Order: sequence, then C-alpha cells, then structure tokens
Amino acid sequence: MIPIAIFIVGIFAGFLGSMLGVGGGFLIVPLLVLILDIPMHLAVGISLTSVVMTSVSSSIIYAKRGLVDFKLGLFLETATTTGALVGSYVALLLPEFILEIIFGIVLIYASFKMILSKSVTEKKKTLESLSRKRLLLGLGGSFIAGMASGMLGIGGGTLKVPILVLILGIATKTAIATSTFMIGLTASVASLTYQAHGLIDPIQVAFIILGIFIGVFIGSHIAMKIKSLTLKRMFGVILFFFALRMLLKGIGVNI
Amino acid sequence: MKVHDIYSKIMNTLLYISILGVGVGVIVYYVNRIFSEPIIIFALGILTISPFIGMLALGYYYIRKKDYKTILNIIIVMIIALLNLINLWLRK
Repeated sequence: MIPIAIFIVGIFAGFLGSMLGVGGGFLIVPLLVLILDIPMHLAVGISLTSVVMTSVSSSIIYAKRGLVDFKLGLFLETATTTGALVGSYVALLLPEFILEIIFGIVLIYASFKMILSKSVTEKKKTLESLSRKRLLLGLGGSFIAGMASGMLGIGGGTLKVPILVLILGIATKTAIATSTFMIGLTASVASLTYQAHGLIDPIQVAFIILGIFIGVFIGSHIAMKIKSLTLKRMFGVILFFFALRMLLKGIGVNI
Repeated sequence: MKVHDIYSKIMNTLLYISILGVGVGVIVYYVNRIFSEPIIIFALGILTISPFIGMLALGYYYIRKKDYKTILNIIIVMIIALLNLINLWLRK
C-alpha cells in the first residue's frame, strides 16, 4: 500500500514542480511524514532525490523547447551556490526562527505581487539585455536565496522564480524553465550526501521517482498550454502557502 | 548544434538509463529485495550526478563557442558545489 501511495505523491509533486518551476520538497516532506508516517530523515532524503528528478526531467522538456536560459541560470547560480555555502555557516550564528519570520514576510509580499499582477513580460530578455542595476539586484537576490536554502534547508525554486520574474523581469515560462535547471545542481549536492551516508530507502525513492517521471511529463506539457499570467498567479498562491507555513513555524506554530 | 539540443540529448540519455535502472529494480524488488537495492542505488547515483554531467556538457559547448564569461561561471559553480559537498559530507 505504501509504495503505491508514495508513487501517487510522486505524480503530484512532479506535476506541480514541473508546472511551477519548484522542486516540490516543501510538498513532499509534509505528505510523507504526516500522511504516510515516514520518519523525517528518510522523508528529507526521498525529497532531495525527488527534487533532482523533477529538475532533470523538466529541464530536458523545457530545454527542448528552447525555454531554459542557460547563461542567465549559470550567472545567477554562482551567487546561489556561494550563498548556500555561506548560509550553512551563518546558520550557526543566527537563530532559525528570526530567518523564518523575515523570509516568511518577504515571500508573502512577493506572493501578493504575483497574485495581483495584471500583466506579464512576454518579451524575451537575455543576460546581455539586462541592465547592470537589475543584474546586481538579481545577483544579490540569488545570494540571499542561496543563503536561505543553506540556513533553512529549503529548496531554491520558490525563491528563484520570484527573483527571475519580479527583479529581473524575465518571462514567467522562461523563469520557470530556468529555475528547474538551476535547482538540480543544488539538490544533487545534498542528495549525494544523503545517499552516501545511507540516509535513503532505495525502494521508497524508486517508487517516488517513477511517479515524478509521469507527473513531470503531464505538468510540463500543461504548463506550455496555460497562459503566463495564470501560471504566475498559480505560483503566487503556492508561494503564499509556503511563506505562511514558514512564518507560522518561525513564531512557533507548526502545521 | 544548439546548446539546448546538446544539453537535452545528454540529460535525456542519463535520465532514461536511470529510469530503466529504477524500473528494473522495482520489478526485481517483487522477486528478491536484496538484489533490487544495488540496481536502484546505481540508477539513483546516475540520476544524482547527472546535473554535474549536464554542466560539463554546457562547459564543452561554451568552450567551443569561446564564451569565456560563461565558462568562468561554470567553473565557479562547480567549485562551490564541490565545496558544498565537502561541507555537507563533514557535517553529517
């Protein structure tokens, strides 16, 4: 029964992850722990490998359609990975709840901005066409996003998409595609560590991987057909719940 | 060949190898659990290192294009990812 349930969680996570450019870790971990009663450390291991799977399979589909901006992704990833490394050390100095409250508030603001937006950028922007000011802001935002993932153990997608859309003004579909490409590398580093330390159950991971494979296929094809504005608002809604959960956790309410 | 084609071709091959491994592992699981685990672990290993191989493929493409700024970004990302890996490894 549990392998089938994990397989279904995989379909759901892959569908949502590929459609919105997120890894889906914030969704997989609570579902596995709260509904399927899987221990937390195993759920995190499953989640990290799942994020790699979502990233790899969706980035292939988006790359085939020419939607991934590799140059921009690699440029921003330099700041994100540096931020993640710095964040893992800063986490030892700063209390986790303060960070959760700060990020919770910032992300709620970003989610409202995305939900209430009336227009989307459809014009294709490249790394070269962006102004120096925007690039610096994007680089700073990516560094902070990386720090957040290093400090709070969260994935990058929920933070990377708003940076690409709201700060750099990238088209929503390109932002989602570029984000799926970027999150793979970050998650694979953490996933490798978990695998090497034997902190994953290969059978459970296998079932979720197969589910994600199907979910990503459906999700990325639907994402192509949905209007960019709808996609942007959908992302805003998911981001709102993610941010609210983070904020509540910061003030001591665990959901 | 465009960068998107090179990336998707290499990643597609790696993805299908790992999916095939995972699929075979799941089938074997119902016959003998002990034999299925090494197959799945091997397939997951390929899947997990595939973003790094993808980066190497991108590096190869941009070297041919002589886009040194992007090559530098790839080198920085790879080095910091490696440092992150060592950092996480030592902490676990």
